Amino acid sequence: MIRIAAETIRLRRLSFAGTFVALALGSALMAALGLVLDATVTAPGRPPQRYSAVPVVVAADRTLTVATPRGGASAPLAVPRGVPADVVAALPDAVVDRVFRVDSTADTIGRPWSALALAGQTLHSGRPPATDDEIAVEDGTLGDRLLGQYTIVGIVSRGPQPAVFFTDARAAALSPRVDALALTRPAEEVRAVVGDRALVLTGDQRARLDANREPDARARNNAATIVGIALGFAAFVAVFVVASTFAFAVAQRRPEFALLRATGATPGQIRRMVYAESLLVAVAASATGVAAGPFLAGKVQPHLVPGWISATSSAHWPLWTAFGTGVAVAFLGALTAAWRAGRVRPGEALRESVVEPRVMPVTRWVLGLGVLGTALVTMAVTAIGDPGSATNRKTFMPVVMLLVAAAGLLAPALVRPAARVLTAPLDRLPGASGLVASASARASARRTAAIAAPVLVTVGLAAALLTASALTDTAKSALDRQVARPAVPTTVYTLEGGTALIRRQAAAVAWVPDDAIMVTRDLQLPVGSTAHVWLADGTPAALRVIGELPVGSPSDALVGAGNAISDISVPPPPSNASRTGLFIVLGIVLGYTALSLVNTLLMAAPDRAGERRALRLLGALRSQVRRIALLEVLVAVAVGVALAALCALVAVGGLWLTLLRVTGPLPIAVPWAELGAITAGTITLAALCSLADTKR
Amino acid sequence: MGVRLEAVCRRYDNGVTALDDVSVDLERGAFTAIMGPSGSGKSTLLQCAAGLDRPTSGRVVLDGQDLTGLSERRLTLLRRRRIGFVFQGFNLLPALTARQNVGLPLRLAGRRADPDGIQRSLAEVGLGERGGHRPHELSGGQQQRVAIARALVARPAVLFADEPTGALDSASGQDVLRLLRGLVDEHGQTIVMVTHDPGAASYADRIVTMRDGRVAA
Repeated sequence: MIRIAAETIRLRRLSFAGTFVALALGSALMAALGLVLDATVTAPGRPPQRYSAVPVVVAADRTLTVATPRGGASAPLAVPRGVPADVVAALPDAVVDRVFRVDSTADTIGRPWSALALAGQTLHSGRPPATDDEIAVEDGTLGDRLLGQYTIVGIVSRGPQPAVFFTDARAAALSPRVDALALTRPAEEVRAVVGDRALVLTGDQRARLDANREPDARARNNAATIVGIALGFAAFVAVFVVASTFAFAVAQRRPEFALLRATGATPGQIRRMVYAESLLVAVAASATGVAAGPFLAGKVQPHLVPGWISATSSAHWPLWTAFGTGVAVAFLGALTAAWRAGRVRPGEALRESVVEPRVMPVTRWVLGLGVLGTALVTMAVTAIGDPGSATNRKTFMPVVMLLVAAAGLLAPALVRPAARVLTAPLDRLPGASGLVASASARASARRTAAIAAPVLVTVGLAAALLTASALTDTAKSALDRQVARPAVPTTVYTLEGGTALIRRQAAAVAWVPDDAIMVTRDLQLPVGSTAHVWLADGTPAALRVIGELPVGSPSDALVGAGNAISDISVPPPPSNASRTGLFIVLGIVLGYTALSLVNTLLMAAPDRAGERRALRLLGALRSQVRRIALLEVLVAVAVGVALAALCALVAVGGLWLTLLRVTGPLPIAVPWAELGAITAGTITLAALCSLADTKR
Repeated sequence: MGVRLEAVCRRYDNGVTALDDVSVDLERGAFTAIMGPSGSGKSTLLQCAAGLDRPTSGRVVLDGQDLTGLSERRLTLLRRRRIGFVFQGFNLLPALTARQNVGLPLRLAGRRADPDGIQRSLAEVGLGERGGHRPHELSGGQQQRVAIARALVARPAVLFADEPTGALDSASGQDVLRLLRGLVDEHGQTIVMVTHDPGAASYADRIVTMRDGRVAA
């Protein structure tokens, strides 16, 4: 059997090349994204920045610890506490560092002049500030005035974060809190003095005080999420494309199987032959793909993760996982195909028939309807239980994937009615092209479905995700508007269930009294009760609950302006990161499905050769044959686009209904330009393939 | 005037000479059978006569029109108007119904597919009732008769048939041959048929025998 299988592969090179390429690329993508994910999660953080030139740093404990009935709960503090005054007094040889905001809009921080050398910065020109109204900066012109009352007297080299240096006395007046003490003494000595009143940090621990610490963690988290979603998508599309390619390749060879059956092969032998072929192709293709994984990972990693994660992963698990998944997917695709191949009757060898009698086996109906049901139930559960989370891409993307998968599974059944509606005008055209094209598109539902499937995935995912992400953006900004501006972002901590200290995003607004708070329902604090919370710097506060925030609000709590304690060290996170990620994910999917479209069309080409020759003999001009081929592909593409539109409609419609409860009716902005471009690209690709094919 | 071949040679690139200086007159209104063993050049003769293949040298004149030097496009247009073709393998488009298959040459020519004309053609081959069926729902003999109806629908000057009974059982084959004979007798249709079956050739008015690329008789 293996010998026959190997021979067959050699003979039907094109068809196997198609499945090989689809699978190899799928496993390459999975391996690459797995490696990027591993690199994102395991890459070491950036080395110490702010205190890179000093061996020992003393800083206040950065966690908030609260006594609970079961011991203690702790959480990292949003705004650091200062180093206790007695510790400062006990270390007179330390350089006192203060880090404070000098301008409410810019990221620039203020620091005392003595802290200049802590990150190895030096004075370039001018002189150190000597009076309260003199400063030194990194960028500027000597003698210029800055921030109203200060004169630039010194220019210093660039540090890790844009800073303005004041005299030590002025800095202490502006920010009485001592953020850190820098020392050159041995760490043990310092520890002996400090005890447990503050932290003594050395080596890489010093990085814990860096401004980029939290944004880095967030960026790493975001990147991991996006790469994770991309990986999920790649796996999904690979399963979709590979299974359909394998099934198509087998369906294409029905006559061959019938012939083998007629010459005495048992159904079992046919089945084993298909298994053997699939296994040969699957192992070879997955291995090739996985081998290309590290290279591909190197190419995509810079676009998906923050720049400081430069190390590439050398882990083995992504490669083994991709290889195993690839082989398993191919084998599963072959499983149903082989079962069907085994049922080919010998008599079929003698009949010439492209009109497939029954295109939808019961299992496919069950599977398709099951997936569709799951998608709808998931949507309903979100809509009823937790409408606020609908704006989250992690909730929405799986629903879209499920819908598209369902449409793909049900496609062969939908192709005929859809094609009938779409081709009705073609039949009435006087020429031959319309009639022939629409008749064969309808008669060969499986082939039409095979071409429509990648179009469905491409356009469906793009339409649903782009429209939905525009909609969730609108929803988020609508929610932002509900919170009166100006709001200052801050943090409150709540104790959940008496044991877990949870950090909550909050906003401080002028119209909430300083002794009051508004919270979302999640916090389970009824209006009128007293909320025991901790503010951003760990100060405990008992606040009246005066109202409930709508579900899906960007912040969990609103507090008064007097409780606005915000952290200077955290610049606002870049908001478009997840949008960029979305486009990268879409790009990957589009590239892959485009390839599979080309693949299917080229694989289907030899089947049509006989029919094309017959048309030519009947007196069809070359241009007519070409037109027929083109029209036929366009009908299939149109079917795919129509099904995609249906999926997008259901997905976006469901989201809209869900958001209706949260934000009221929202305008739906369909990104026609992007969708038009994607659809046009798909059509162009399909057209080029059909032309290339009829050229031969 | 039917088809006249004058000193036609057809040599392939691999050096095989399929037709070697063949001159033959295939008369109008007659049923001519071309016979000969495999490789005798009878199919090449048919293809050159029908404008499907080009002679290396010599002239083919079909219904008064010299085919030599016509462009591929002009040749196709001419084939469409003047020639009907019936193949051993039927060559029906599987996705189309019998009626649509018959109407196809008209549609290809950009002419209106007149339903009455199509129905008449189907009735002539005895399949007036089966117009809505797809090829796989018809027997081999019926499929070949649909192919004949399709070849006749444009009222061609010459009907070429390449082993039309080759894929049929003898009863169906007889039906097809009787049908062809009737077309000649009743409508004066010019028919040129390639066959290696003497029984089939016996339906013809005249038999041209080929041997080694030459006309033997």
